[in-house]
Amino acid sequence: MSTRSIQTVQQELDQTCWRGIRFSHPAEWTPAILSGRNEPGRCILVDRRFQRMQLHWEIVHRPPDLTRMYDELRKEHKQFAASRLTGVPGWSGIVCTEPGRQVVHAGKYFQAAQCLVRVILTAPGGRHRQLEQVVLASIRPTGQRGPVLWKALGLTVVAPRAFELISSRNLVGRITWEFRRSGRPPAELTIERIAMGRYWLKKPLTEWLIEQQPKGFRPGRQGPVDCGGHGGHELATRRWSLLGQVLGRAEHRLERAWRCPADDRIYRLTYQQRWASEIDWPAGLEVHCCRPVKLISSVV
Amino acid sequence: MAGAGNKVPAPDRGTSLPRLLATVPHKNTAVKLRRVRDGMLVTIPMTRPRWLVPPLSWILPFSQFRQVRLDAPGTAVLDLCDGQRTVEQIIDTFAGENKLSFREAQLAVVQFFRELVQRGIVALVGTPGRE
Repeated sequence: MSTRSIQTVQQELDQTCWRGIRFSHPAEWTPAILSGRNEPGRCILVDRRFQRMQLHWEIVHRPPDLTRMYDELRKEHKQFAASRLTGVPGWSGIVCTEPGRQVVHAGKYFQAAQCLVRVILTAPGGRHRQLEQVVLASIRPTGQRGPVLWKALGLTVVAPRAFELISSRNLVGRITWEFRRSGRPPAELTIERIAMGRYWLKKPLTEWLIEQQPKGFRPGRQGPVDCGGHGGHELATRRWSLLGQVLGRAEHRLERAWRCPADDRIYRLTYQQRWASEIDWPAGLEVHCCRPVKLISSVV
Repeated sequence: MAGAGNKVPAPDRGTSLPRLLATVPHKNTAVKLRRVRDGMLVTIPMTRPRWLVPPLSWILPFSQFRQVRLDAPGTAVLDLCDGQRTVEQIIDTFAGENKLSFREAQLAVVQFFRELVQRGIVALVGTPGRE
């Protein structure tokens, strides 16, 4: 690892973008923990054997004294011959040499975003300084305006800012993100990335999508759609409540699914809106499989 | 939120995963395997408990074997257990065949092996030199 050039390191990097923070890391480091809604920002990345990176971030209105903070930590870790971190502009921190590994504790305050980021990088066997520099330099808060990029665990979504990620589930081979837009009318958006279709998808995608409809929803328009060059299927359904019938407002559901042959995953999107007269995909919504797929309803 | 920023989080010190990845799964030779549609039927012989003697055995039924049905992915993993491959190699192969990341495959395969070990279908044998 230590003999690789910085260009090679950069080529092998993957990116994670989660709850207002964006950073690059080696592709073999996978998020094992991603913070949930209303939790302090946290992300833990592991490789196949060890925990490699912990990232904590939070809004802090006054700049903390990072030098003092890490000097105190250095005193606490003096049995590990802790020394000051150098060579990474803007970052304060220490390096501890523990039995069988080196641990870098680093922190940076991003003034514009008022965001304090603290990182722990664990290097079993020894530090890779170039990788360390590239990873730390890539960490930055995302912008406060425009659509929000969510990128983790192989799923990439660009969602309008009004949609908040309320739950994220990572079951085996099945990643599910649920977004909600509060306000009127409220709307829910669910995005799933499902693997191992050859084991469980025993029928055409269209039939499977129709079968997935919850009780009470009646099919409306449906048909094939182009999903970034992949053939997909879109289905619009609706359900009437008693009050809805009086007010002429139904619960609408719009679904789309496609199979990406490059990553052999099935992508399924569900957009549900109550008390609406009609439904269409939120403007600016984009899901990436092997290529970006812009969600524009093309079924008439 | 302010004020919480002066504590530094602690690194993880876990080491059990590398040991688990280096173990080699061996099938229980007493177990009978039969391929069925979309999977495999595993028959595991059971040992009669010492306390299960008459008159208790007249009341409590005892089966000489227990059957477990594996689905298609489970069968694929069990087929990879040849007494040579380590858990890590099995995860790698399973991940490659199903276009999964190592981590995705690891979660599934490790959990599956835990269940197989509990049911007496497989034993994980440690090989310290391979860690």
